[in-house]
Amino acid sequence: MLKVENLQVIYDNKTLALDDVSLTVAPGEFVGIIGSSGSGKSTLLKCMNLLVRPTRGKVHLEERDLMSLNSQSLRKVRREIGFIFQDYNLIDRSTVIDNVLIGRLSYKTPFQSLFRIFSQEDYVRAEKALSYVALEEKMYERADRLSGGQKQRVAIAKTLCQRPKVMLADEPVASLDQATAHLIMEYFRRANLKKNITILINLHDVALAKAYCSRIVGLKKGKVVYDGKAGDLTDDILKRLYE
Amino acid sequence: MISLKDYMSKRNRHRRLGLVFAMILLFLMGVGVEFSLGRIVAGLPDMADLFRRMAHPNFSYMGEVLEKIMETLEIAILSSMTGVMLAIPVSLLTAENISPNRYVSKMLNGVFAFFRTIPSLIWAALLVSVFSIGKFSGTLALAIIAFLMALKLFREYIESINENQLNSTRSVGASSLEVLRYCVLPNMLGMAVSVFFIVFETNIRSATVLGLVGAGGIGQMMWRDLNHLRYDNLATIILMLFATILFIDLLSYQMRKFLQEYSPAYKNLQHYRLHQIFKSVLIPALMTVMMVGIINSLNISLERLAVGYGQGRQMVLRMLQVDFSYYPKLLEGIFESFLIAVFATITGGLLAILFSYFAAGNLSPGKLTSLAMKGLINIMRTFPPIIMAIIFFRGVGPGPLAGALALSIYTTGVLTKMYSEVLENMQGNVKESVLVTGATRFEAYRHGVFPQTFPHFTSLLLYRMESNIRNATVLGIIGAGGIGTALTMNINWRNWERVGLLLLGVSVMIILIDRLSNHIRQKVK
Repeated sequence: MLKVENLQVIYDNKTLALDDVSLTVAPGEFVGIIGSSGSGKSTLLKCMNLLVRPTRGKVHLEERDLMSLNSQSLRKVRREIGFIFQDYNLIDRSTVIDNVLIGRLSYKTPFQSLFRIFSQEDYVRAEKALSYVALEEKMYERADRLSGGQKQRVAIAKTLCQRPKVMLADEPVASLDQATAHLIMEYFRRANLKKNITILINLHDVALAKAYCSRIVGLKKGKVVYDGKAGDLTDDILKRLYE
Repeated sequence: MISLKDYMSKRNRHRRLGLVFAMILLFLMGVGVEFSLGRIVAGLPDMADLFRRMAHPNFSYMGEVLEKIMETLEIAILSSMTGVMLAIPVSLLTAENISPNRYVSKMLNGVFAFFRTIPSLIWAALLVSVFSIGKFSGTLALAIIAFLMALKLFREYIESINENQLNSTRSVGASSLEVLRYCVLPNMLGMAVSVFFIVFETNIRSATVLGLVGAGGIGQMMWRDLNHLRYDNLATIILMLFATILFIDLLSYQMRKFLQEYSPAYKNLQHYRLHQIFKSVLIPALMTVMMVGIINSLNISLERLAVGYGQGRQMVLRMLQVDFSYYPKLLEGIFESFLIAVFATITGGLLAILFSYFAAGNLSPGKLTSLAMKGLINIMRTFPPIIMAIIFFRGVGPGPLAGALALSIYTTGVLTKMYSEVLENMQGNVKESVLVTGATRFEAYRHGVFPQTFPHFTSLLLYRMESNIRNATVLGIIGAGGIGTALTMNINWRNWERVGLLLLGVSVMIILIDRLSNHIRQKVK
């Protein structure tokens, strides 16, 4: 359903971040992308919803060519792709529920969004999403009062409000402790199994990737050097990947 | 690897050189501002006499003063509100990371950077010649200052939003307008109230001296009493102003603290929704009401605006035909302003290093010492330097010395306050780590805390330098040295071509100093 072909990204006309990357992801897959820092993991994910525009190559979501869409249709496609960041990026001064409601923006007309008109249904959805990540009692707290793990759960709830088909997560647990990291990964697993959401996740922790992902893609200096089942990932491959 | 001996001798040499350099610099500056202990000592009786006569405030005068203080407050509040409100939309255009067009934002920032170099009193003086004497000119001048200040704060905030934060809203499929509305504005609206208070604190001080150029407020009264030698009246004004400013600073501090932690409690979703709808109706409504209120209270007729526009256009057009032949006067004035500013910064800096030790609650020898020091500092920094200069003016006569002394005192006050706050908020156990070697508290400050916070101190000092340069350009209005004398004279005579040159010179100097100070700040880090 998600397909990238021959992606190449060059930053500032000199740094080669992605070098001829092709990848096809089937519906319902749980893909982990590993590699050392600077290997192009973030860039690859950001290309998939065009937060970064590739210098060359193609991005397809369910037969739609993202590069050829105008900005309005691109926004429609982005709605189907949830994106989670390492640093949560919540609006600090807004309440938790307001942050979650941002996930509903692409369903609003410009007039509605300008005057912040959300329907009862929007609110109910937001509330449900929050209870999915077990944070309904923090609903009216300001986002900056939450702990890191809680913030990431709010970000997941926000993404679920979009009703996405795909979720992209860029190092979602890198700033969290072990126990919290597993808790967050569990939410991804449940979204994958119960809601049948395709998941692509960047991880630098190989053990975590092996424990949760069914397929693993290894990147090194902007190139795919491994693409296969999590179980087939040997120490030898890892050594080559990180050396 | 150098040997220990080399290291020691090199270090000693560096220190001696540094010290000698600072002394020479201070000496040169002293010569430049016509520093003379003799004149200060000779002036002491005069100043003491002034204080003695001020020791009996005329309390029956309070009613009149209160009326004028109210007017001053009105000017400060109106102008701050107008400026902040206008700055919100414009900041969206000028912040380079979200601006619709990079070139538009670059151009606007250039223009505003130029405007920002013109001090409020000069704005007021210019506007008085356009819109005639009165509080409208003063309000407009301070509104411009408020706008420029708020714009800078907002812009810096928006540019500090990292790309991922914007991306996280973009990635839900939001349009660029929605990114503004949901990602940038929520934080900015909360911030707007704090910005208002920051601007307000500055403007209330500026508003007290607007009267010097006839732009309304209590300054006119102060100037009159001073010239009529009514020191009892002057004392009343100063006391009441002090109380007012202290009250506003306190209020502002409390409000900002409250806002930082504000988060109301909600019972259920329905309650919350109601609250949100209420808010999204109320805030725009409130803004509209305020705008209408402001326009009404200024009570300005279209006719006067039209006349003002004509005169303003004339003025600007003539200013653009810069009279370069006037440059000797410009260089002389600018150099003097520069000397005053550097002198004040060095003196203020040295005193602040010492004073901060006593003022910082966690270092000071005693709670009482710290409290007394803080009280003293607050008095030193309450009044705009130009008022302090008036007092020195009586003692040491006209010329740069009065200005330099006044500005030194002001700098000491502000810098001590800021630096002692840095010391109080210092993380970690730097002080303890020196104390455990058996050192005294002062040694712990001198060898541990001070070197540790030195980059912070330099940065604050450089900010003071930037502000002092601006202040030094207006001291001349009352005859306390610098370029201000030439500026006011030419504004009064409506020599706009010369004013154009002077403003250009001031701007170039300020921009150069800001650049230099920015450069040094980066280096010290």
